[in-house]
Amino acid sequence: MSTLDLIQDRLEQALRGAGQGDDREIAAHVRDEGHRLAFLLNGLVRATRLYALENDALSGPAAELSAVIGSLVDRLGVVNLALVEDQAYVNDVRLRVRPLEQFALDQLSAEFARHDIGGLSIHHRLDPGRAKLLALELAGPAAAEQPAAALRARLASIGDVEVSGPWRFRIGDEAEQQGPKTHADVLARAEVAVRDTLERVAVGWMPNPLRIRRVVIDLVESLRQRPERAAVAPFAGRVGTSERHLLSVCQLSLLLGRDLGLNEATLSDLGVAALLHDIGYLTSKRPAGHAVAGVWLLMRQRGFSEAKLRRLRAVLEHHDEDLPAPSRGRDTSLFARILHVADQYDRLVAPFHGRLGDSLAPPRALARLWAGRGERFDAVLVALFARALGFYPAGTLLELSDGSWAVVERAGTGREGWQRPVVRIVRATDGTVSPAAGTIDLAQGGALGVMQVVEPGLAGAGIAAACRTALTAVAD
Amino acid sequence: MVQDAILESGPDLQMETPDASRRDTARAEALPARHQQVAGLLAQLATTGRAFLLYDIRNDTVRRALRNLLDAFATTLAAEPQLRLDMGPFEIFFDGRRVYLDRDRERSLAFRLYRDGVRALVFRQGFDADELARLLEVLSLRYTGIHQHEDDMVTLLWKAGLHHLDVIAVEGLAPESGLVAADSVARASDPRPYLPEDVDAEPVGPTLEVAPERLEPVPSTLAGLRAEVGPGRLPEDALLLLAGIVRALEDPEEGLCLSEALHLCEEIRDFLMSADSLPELLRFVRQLQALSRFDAPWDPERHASAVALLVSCGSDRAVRRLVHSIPVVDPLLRGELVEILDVVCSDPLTAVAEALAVEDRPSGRAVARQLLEHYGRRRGAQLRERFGSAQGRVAADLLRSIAGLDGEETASFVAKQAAHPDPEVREEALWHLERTAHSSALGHALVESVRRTEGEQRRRLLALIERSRDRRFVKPLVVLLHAGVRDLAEARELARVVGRLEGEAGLARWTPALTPVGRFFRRRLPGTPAVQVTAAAAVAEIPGEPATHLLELALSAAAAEARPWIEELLEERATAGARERP
Repeated sequence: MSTLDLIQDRLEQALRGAGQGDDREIAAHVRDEGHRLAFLLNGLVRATRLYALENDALSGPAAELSAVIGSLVDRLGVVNLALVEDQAYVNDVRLRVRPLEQFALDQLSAEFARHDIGGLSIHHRLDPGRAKLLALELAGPAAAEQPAAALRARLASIGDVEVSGPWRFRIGDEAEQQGPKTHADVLARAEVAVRDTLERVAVGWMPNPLRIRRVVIDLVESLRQRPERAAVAPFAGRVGTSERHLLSVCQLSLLLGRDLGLNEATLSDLGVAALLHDIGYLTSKRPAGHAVAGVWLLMRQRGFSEAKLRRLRAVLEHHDEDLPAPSRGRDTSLFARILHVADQYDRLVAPFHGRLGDSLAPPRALARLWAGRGERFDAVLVALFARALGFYPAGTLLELSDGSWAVVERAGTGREGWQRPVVRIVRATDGTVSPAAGTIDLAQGGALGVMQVVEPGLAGAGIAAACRTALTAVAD
Repeated sequence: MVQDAILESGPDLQMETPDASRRDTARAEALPARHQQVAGLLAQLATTGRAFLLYDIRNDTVRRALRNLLDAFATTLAAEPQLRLDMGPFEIFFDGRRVYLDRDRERSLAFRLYRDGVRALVFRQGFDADELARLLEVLSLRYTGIHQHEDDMVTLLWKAGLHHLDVIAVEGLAPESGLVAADSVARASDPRPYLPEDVDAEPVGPTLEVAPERLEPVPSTLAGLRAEVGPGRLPEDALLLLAGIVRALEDPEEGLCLSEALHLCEEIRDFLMSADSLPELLRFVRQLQALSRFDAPWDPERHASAVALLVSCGSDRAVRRLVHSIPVVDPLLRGELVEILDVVCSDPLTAVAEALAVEDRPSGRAVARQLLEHYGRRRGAQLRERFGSAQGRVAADLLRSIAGLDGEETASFVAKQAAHPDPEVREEALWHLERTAHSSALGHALVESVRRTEGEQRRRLLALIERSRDRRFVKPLVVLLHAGVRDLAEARELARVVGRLEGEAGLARWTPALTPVGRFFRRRLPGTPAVQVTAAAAVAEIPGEPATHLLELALSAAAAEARPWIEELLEERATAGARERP
C-alpha cells in the first residue's frame, strides 16, 4: 500500500471514529438553537426594562428562552454562551450572524460588558420564571465595585447560572509567560483545577474535562522527566484535603500506566479519570454508591469519545474488585483496575482525613496489595507497581543500621536497588531532627543498611515534618 | 511536546486586529523565495485540512491534495530543517514575514490554532507522512467536529505524539483574570474537604500482608493489557459500560431513572451503528430489549423510553447509517444485520429501500439490494410496487433485487422491464435476462419487449430469443414482421432469428415471397423490397441446397433496393459454407 493509501486509510478511520456525521448534526443544531438563545436573551433583557416582571408581555419570550435553554442543555449537558469581540460562541460553535443581526449581538455584548463579564454557563434547565430573573439581573445596573462578582452573587439566588470574565484572544500579556513549568507549579495549578471541579460538582454543575486534561498533560510531562515524583505523591500536597488524594491517585496511576507501556494519549485519559474518580462522594447518599453517583455526574457531558467512555467505566468500576466473589472483577476495565491499585495504596498510606496514626507504612501497604494479588487486585498491575515503588517505597521511614532514621526518597534502580533505596536522613544518630543536605544510596555498597521500618505513628510531629520537607523537595 | 509560549515580539511581527474585514485571503506580497515556499505549504495545508469537509476521503481531489502536501513538506523541510511558524489570530508568520492570512473564522487555519492557544508550531526535519497524517487528523477533526469540552487543538496535537513537531501554547481563549483570580484567592484560604468524614471508616482492602517480590512481567502479558485500551476494543467497552449502567438502573437502592442515561445510550447507539460493529450492535439491541422488560416501579417512564430507543435503532436515519457504513472490501449481507433489522424495524423493507434511494457507495447499495431480496421473498408485491414508482439508478437497483427472487412471476416481471422507458432499468433487465436460463414464462414478456424496443436492446432481446431455441417465438415474430418494421436492417435481424428458430420447416413459409412471378424477362419477386429482404434473410439461415437455390433464384428477380441485401446474404452463406467444408 502506498504512503498516500496509508494516509487516506488513517484519516478515513479517524473521521469515521470521530462520528463526523453526528458532530455536524450537533453543530448545526447548536448553531441554530444558539442563535435563538443569544437573540432571545437579548430581547428578554431589553423587555425587562419596559415591563414589570409579572407582565404577560414577558411570558412568551421567557417561555421561548426557557425552551431553547432546555433544548440545548438536553443536547449539550451544559450551555456556554461566550461573547468574544464581535462574535458569539455556544459551546465552541460560532454563531453565524447576518450583518443586519450584528447590532443585536452587539447589544448583548454591551450588556455583558457593563457587568464586566464575557459569558454565561447554564448548567440545568431554567423554567420561564428563572429565565426572566436572569434577564432582569443582566438588565439591572452594574455594581460600581467588582461588577462581575456582584452579578455572580445575585445569580446565585437563581441557581445553575455561572458567569465568566470577559473573553479575549490573549495578546497583551503573553510575553509574561514563563518557560518550562516546575513540578510544584504543575501541582499547584492541578490543585486549583481539582478544587474548582469539586466545587462545581458540589453545586450540581458539570466538571470541565478540558481544563482537567490540560493539567494532566502537564503532569504526564513532568512525571516523564522524573517518574519518582509520582511515588511521593501521597505525601505531597495539603494533608486532609480531597485534592491531595485525587492528585496522588492520579500520579500513582500515571506511574503504573507508564510502566505498563501505555502511550501518552492513553495516559492522559487515565489521568483525567483518576482526578475525577471520587466525585461521586459529593452527591451520593451513601459512600458505597459513590461509583454510580460519579458516573451519573460525569455522564452529563455530551458527545461520544473514547476518553469519556473509558473514564465512565473507570469511575463506575474502580471498586468492582472489592465486590463479593460472584460479581468481583467481572470484566473490570484496565483503567478501573489501575485506579483500584493506586486508590487503595494511597488510602492506606495517607488516609483522606490525614490522621497520622491511621496511616500504614508504605511497605505494609504494598504488602497488603501483594496479598490480594489475583483476587482483589490485578496480579500483573500489582507486580508492576511493586517493581516501580521498590520494597521500601518513597515515604517509608527507616531505622538504619547506625541508628539514624531516614525517609526513602525513591527506589533504587534495577534488581540491586529494589531493596536498597535512596534515602535522606531525618534524624541523625545524635537525635537531631532535620532533613540532611544530601541523600544516601543504600545500593552503593556501603556498610549502612536497613534495620527496620518505623511505623508512622511512632514518628512524632517533628520527624513527620522533616519527612514532608524532604519529600516535597523530591516532588520539586 | 507542548511548551509554554514565549512570544518573540519584535518590530516585524505585525499582528492584525480582529476588526479587519471578515473574509480575506492572502494577497501576493513581494516575499523572498523561501517565504513563498512556506506560504505555498501553508496554503496547501489549510486546503487539505478543509478538503474532508467537501469530499469523500477516497476522492481523487483529496488524494491529489495529499500528494501535493507531502511533496511540499518534503521540499520545504529539506530547505528549512527547523521551520518555526508563529501564529496570529488570522495570520501565520515565518521569519518575521506574514506568509498566511485568512480572516474567515470558519476557514482560517491560523484562527483555529490561535483560538485554542497555539502560538507557534516548529516543524523539524524527520516530519514524515505518518506524522502528517496525524496532523491532518487533528486539523480535520477540529474543522469538522464539535468540541464537547474534551479536547482542543493543543491537547489533540499533544495526544497525536508528533515527535518532529513542537507546539508552543498558552491557555487560548480564556477569561480575563479578576473574577477567576479572586475566586482562587478565596478558595485558597478555605480548603474544605469534600469527602465525608467517615469515608476512612470503610474497610480498605485485605488486611493480610505478604512481602512483595520484584517480578518482571512477560512482555506479551503487558501487550495484552495494553490491548484492552486499544481502539479495537471500543465497541466492547461501550457494551460493558452499558451493562454497568443497566445494573445501576436495576438496583432499587439507587432508584435511578433511564431518562438520565438516555443520551449516553443514544451516543452508544450511534457509535455502534456501523457495519464494523454488527455483533456489538446486536448485543446492544438485546440489552435494550432486556431493559425494556425490567420492572422498575420507581421509573414508570422506563419501558416507553427503552422501547423508543429500540425503535430509534431502526429509524430511517439509523438504517441509512448502517447501509452507508458497509465496507468496500466486504459488501456481503451478514446475518447480524438481518437480525438487528428484524428486531428494531417495523418495516425493514421500506427502511432499506429508502436508504438505498440515497446511497451512493457501491458496497452499501450491494448490501441494501441483498437485504431487499431477503425481505422481498415474503413481500415481493411490495417490492415491485416500490419499483413502479422509482426511477433511474434506484429503479435499476430495485429491479436487481426483484430479479433475485424465485418464481416465474419474477422472471416474467423482469423480462417485461426490458422495454421499460428508463434506460437504466432496461439495461438492468437485459443484464439479468442474459444470465438467466430461458423458461416458458418469459415468452410473452420477451416478445412484448421486442415489440417495444429498437436498436441495440432489440438486438440483445432477439439474441435471447434465438438462444432459447423455442419455436413458439416464430409465430409472434412473424406477426411482428408483417406489422411492419422500421427499416430493412431491422427486418433482416428479426427474420434471421425466425429463420434460425424455424429451420427447414420455414422454407415453405418464405418460398412464395422469393419465387418470381410474371412472364419471361419481366419475372419479378412479388411483394415490397422489405418483404423480399425479410424472406431472404429468413431463408439464408436455413441450411441446405434448396434454400441456396431459392435465394439465387430470388436474386435475379429481386427489386433493385432488395438486391444488394440478398447478394450480401448469399455471400455470407457462401463464406460460412466454405468455412464448414474441410
